[in-house]
Parts: sequence; C-alpha cells; structure tokens
Amino acid sequence: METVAKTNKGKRSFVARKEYWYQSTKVLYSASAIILIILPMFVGNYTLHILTLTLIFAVLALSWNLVAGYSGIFSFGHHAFFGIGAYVSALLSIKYGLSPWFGLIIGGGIAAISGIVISLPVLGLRAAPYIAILTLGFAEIVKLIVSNLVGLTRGELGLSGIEPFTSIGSISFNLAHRLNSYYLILAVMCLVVFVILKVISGPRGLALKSIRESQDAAESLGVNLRKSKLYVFMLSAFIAGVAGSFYAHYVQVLTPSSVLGVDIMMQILVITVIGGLGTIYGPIIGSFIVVMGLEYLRFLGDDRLMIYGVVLVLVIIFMPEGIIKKVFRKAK
Amino acid sequence: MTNKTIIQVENLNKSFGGLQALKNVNLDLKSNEILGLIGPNGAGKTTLFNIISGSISPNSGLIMFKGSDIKNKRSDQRCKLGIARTFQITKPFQNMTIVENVTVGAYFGKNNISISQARKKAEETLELLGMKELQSFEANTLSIGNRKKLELARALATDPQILLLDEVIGGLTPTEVNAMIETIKEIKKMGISVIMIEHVMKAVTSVSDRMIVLNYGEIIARGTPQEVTENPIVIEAYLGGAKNA
Ligand SMILES: Nc1ncnc2c1ncn2[C@@H]1O[C@H](COP(=O)(O)OP(=O)(O)OP(=O)(O)O)[C@@H](O)[C@H]1O
Ligand SMILES: [Mg+2]
Repeated sequence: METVAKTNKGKRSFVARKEYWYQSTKVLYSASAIILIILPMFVGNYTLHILTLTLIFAVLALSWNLVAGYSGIFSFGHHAFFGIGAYVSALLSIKYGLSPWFGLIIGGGIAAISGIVISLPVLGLRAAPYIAILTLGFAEIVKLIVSNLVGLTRGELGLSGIEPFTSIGSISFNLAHRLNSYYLILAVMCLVVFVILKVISGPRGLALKSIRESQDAAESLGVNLRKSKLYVFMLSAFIAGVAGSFYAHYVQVLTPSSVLGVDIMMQILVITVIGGLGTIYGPIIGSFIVVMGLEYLRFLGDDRLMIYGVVLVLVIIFMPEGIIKKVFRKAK
Repeated sequence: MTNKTIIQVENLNKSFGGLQALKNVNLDLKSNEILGLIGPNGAGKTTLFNIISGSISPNSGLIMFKGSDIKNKRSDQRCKLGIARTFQITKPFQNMTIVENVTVGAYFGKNNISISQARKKAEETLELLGMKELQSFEANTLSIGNRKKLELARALATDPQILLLDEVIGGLTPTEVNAMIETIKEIKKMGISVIMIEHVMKAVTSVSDRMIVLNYGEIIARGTPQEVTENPIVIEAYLGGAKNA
C-alpha cells in the first residue's frame, strides 16, 4: 500500500501544476476560431493559398496520425492514398464529367479500398522496418502506375484544367474565390476532427490504442487485431483520399510527383511528429508550423531545408511528445 | 464441487529450432481448481501458457477446452471463450489510464457488452484488487507490484472461466504477497479455475489444490503440494538447477 500512496502523491502534484492563462480551453478555442475563421477574411490571395494548403496537409496528417499515432503502425505509404484520391476524382470529372462533389466521396472510397488492399499484407507483420518498406513500396508502385498510364493520366505531363468544385448557389469555388475554397477545406477538417474524436473516445479507439501499446496483450484480452487494423487503414485512407480529391479540384493541375512524391510523406511525418503523435490537435498545429514555416522561409532558398532539419531534430530531442503536449499539458 | 475437466492438454510438443521446450506434456484442469505449475528457469512453463492461450502454436498435441478442440482459435477468440492470461514480463498499455487498461479486457473479452457496462465492470475489478484510487493514472506510473496487479485486473475483467497466472507474485513485497494470495483465493471462490506459475514456493503451495512440476519440458512430478515438495526427484531438479546456475 505504501507504493500506492507514493505514486498517488507524486502524480497529484503533477496534475495540480499551475495552469497558465493560455492553457485554458476557452482561450484555446476562441483563439483558434479567430485565427481559422475570421483572420482569413483579411488576408491576400497568396496567404489564403498558403492557409488552404496548410489545412489540406493538416487533414492528411490527421489521417496518418490515426494509423501511426493512435495505432502505432508506421505506414510510410500514406501519400499513395492522397494521390489516388486526387487522380480518381480528377479523372472522373475530366472523362465522365462527374461532379467534383461526388468525386470527393468516390476518391475517398477508392483510396479506402486501396487502404484495405495494402493493409492485408501488413496485418501479418509486426516488425516496423518491414511495414515501412512494404508501405513505401506500395506507394512507389502506385506512382509508377500513374506515371506510366500515359493514355489516361498523361504521365508526367500531368492533368490540367481540372474542374473546380461546382458553385452552390452564388458560392463559387474557382480561383477567383479562394476564400470559399478555404472555408470548404476548413469544414472538411472540422468534420474529420469530429469523426476522429468520436472514434478515439469509443471502443474502436480503445482497441487501436491498446494495439499501439502492446499487440500481445491486446490480443490476449480479446481485441481482434486484424479487424482493428483493417478498419484504421480503411478510415485513414478514406480521409487522405478526400484530401487528395479536394487538392485536385482546388489547384486544378496534377502531376504524379506533385501528389505521389515521397516528399509528401516526409511532410506528413514531420508535421505529425512536430505537432504531437497521437494527439487530436497536434497535426493541425504541426501543419501551421511546417507548411507556413517552409513557405515564409522561402527567401532563404535551400538553406530553409537545413533549418527544417534542425527544427525536427530539436523537437525530437527536447519535446518527443510534440509541441501540443508541451504547451497544453492536458492535450490527448 | 464438481470435478468436470475444463482444460485438457494431450501430448503437447513444442520445439524452438533444436531446443525442445515441451515434451509430451499431458495435464488437465478441473473446474474450480487451482493448479500450481512449478519448475526451474527455462523449464517451459511460459511456453505452455503461450500455447494454451493461443499466442504460439504447438508442433503437435491437443488442447481441449470444455470438450472441444481449440486448435484453430486465435488468442482473442480463446479469450472470448473464457481463457484469460497474465504476462510474466508485464505488458501494460503504458500511455493509457489504469481504468482504460482494464476496460479493454472488460469490453473485448466478452461478446455483447456495452462500453459503459465494460467501464463499470473495470471499476469493480479495480475495486476488488484495491486499485480503485489509481484508476485515472497512466499505467506508466505504476510500481512493479501494481503492474502485476494490473495484469491480473485486466485478465479478470474478461470474465474468464480459466485464468493463467504467470508469476504474479514474484517481485512483490511481503505485504503485497499476502494480499495477492488472498485475492487468488477470492478468485477461486468466484468459480474460476486457475493455473498458476510461481517460483515463490510458500505462495503456490498455500493456494494450490494440485501441483505439477516441469523440468526441461517434461512433467517430472504431480500431486498435492505436500507430495510434490517432498518428492526427491523434484528436490533433485531444483538443486541440480541451482548447481548449474
Ligand atoms: N519464442 C522463443 N523462441 C526461442 N526460444 C524460446 C522462445 N520462447 C521460449 N524459448 C525457450 O524455451 C525454453 C522454455 O522457456 P519458457 O519461457 O517457457 O521457460 P519458463 O519455464 O517460463 O522459465 P522462467 O521460469 O524463467 O520464466 C527456454 O530455453 C527459452 O529460452
Ligand atoms: Mg516463464
């Protein structure tokens, strides 16, 4: 019983740690609302573009975080789902005139099916290096296929003139109305956060987290590892596919390297790690830091990549749980 | 007390490369019985648990649970059938709270239970083990004794018919040992059958109805705690083990 009391006390002082004004949830939510909803009304087109890209990457990182951060499965082929969503939706709209709104769902759906396909060989693997190589290889294959199906995708020449999202009444989403596109991806992101919160706080989340912590223990307690892994791959691929489809109809041009390059995966990884693996809001904060940081350091030329590397190393050394947990103790 | 056999293991063999970890092992567990499993380090005790719980498969042999072969069942399915285990090297879900740890067992260990029922069950189980006040701490804050109790709590929350305890007593303080012995007696009263691996001799002999001794993968003795501890072959195995160590 002595040990009980000791742990108890040690932990209590930890919980009672002084809370700073900026750590209150009220301040946090109002600040985010102002930054995300009001501020964009007063910025120029260039900044708005960067903000939109930031949120696209936030959605992508949120989806990868489900697999890596919550389930502990380090898949490095997540950019494939982004690319698949983008190409499926763009091609359906170009070849068959399908509305981009449907493309968003079908792009996500096809990405989800690919997620299931790639998860099948992953299910039997426990060792992280094999999973990394397998998933990375899968993404490379997807990229090769897209580059070589020249008749369909025009290869590296790329697709251009992809339709923007069709107007809803007087709300248009073409490049002259970037603010609307920004709000659209903001809505998508909020929906994604809502879904992830729901999943993580329910039984599925319990299963995923237990798998992350110990697959042996989870299985011995009745958790069906296959089912949980299939589910999380499918859901996260769907979200990444939706992000890809949004991207296609937003920038309106696609090449295999712009949506299927391994640098996208690097970006997702860095965003999530800096923001906080396995936290709900970490990927969003991470995306603001990384995407905006890289953009506004452009004047440094290639030196910015060095800064990027240094920042990543510093974060891993000094705050391995990510920025969000450092600043907001209670973040989960 | 009925004497129905709940688990029956027949001619079990398992080798790892050239090492035969289990040789023709036969044993049965009756309902509502505590079976003590002892033997020197490396005797194959944990391997036997791994096979019964389904985390590894045997090279040959049969495992019958309540009369049916469970060879083709995965670990999670065996858990739902009613076979729960603890791990010798504890495997807590570190970055989850204690109550979440136990809720995993309560929710996934049974079919058709709601998450709120599971949570309640988890809290009751923690109460039973005297860990209620720790429930909202993360598992990575626990002492070794409490980690062992957490192993037990999670397994117990699955509402098992048989419980495989792999050294839940080793490493505990004397006070904790006594509390754990009481808990195990309590578990028996709940109608759960137990196989218990243990090096702390005083503890196993005090709770076991019957005991089995494994040495180099073979069962070398079985009987009541008194018969086993007085058996010259057993004494020799332990002393021999000590000489080699
Ligand atoms: N997965 C494995 N691969 C290879 N060898 C193994 C494996 N698991 C166990 N062994 C070997 O099988 C033998 C029996 O191991 P086991 O863990 O079952 O012993 P034990 O009786 O539980 O010992 P202890 O009292 O030390 O826990 C040992 O020699 C061990 O090294
Ligand atoms: Mg062992």
